[in-house]
Amino acid sequence: MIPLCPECSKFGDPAKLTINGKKLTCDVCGFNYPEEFEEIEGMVLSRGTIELTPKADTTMYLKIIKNKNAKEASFALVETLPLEPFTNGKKVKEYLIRANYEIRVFYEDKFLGSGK
Amino acid sequence: MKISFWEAVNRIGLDERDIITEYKAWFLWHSKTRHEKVLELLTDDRFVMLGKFRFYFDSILKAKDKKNPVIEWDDFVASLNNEIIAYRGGAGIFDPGIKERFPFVATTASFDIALMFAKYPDAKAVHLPAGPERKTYWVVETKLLLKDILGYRNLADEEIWISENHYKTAKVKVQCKE
Repeated sequence: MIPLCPECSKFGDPAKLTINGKKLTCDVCGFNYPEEFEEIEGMVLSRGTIELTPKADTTMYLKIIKNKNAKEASFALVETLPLEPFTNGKKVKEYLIRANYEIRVFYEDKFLGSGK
Repeated sequence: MKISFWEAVNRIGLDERDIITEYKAWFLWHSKTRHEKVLELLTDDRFVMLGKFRFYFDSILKAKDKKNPVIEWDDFVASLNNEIIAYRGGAGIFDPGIKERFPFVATTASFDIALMFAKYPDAKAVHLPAGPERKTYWVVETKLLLKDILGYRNLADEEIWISENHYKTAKVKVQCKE
């Protein structure tokens, strides 16, 4: 998650954000994120919907992966499942994959202090 | 009584979620030149008013502090009838009669930025100076009232959106050859 401030970050510049109680606030402009944030294991940082539109001749697989070490960004392939859309005999122009996602945070044991 | 930037945003009828919506729309415009989301902003009177207020805050008041009360709301309302100048730069020959690609004209509040886009037309796409293919460039200036601004956001540059009708009154300010 890139710590962006939608008010004062310009083209992806990182922002200095601080959690005050349950509010995530930009130190520069005072923007308060509308969601509640807490430094707790498994806290949902963001959620949304991803849409993909692969062409009809695309071979699709569902890859289930596990992030073993977040710091090294290594992923282990756990299982691969073929996706078999039901076409009902009609020629397919394209598919639409719509998936809901959420990003949760898990912390290391080491305490970083105030972060300032 | 003075109010803060955020209190003014609330007075316009917007909240933090709307600021995120606005950011995403302008980000898509700047990074992919997709105008659909920003057009949605232009159909919402609150976002249109926010654009005028942002211009007042940035370019007229030249304020930086968004947390503390520095704004007299009545002064902002009165300034809506003030004349402002928008600039636009491009390569080739300036023709205000040309049909624009979008149902608005993207201009800027800064003469220097307009000059940069005139000399380097690809600057918005790549954000790196690229050699101009044409040998002539121009910068035009357009005068309009603050209340006539359709949209304004200081994200990658100080971009103002105005109507084609206002752009037709633009006058060439700089025209020269490389």
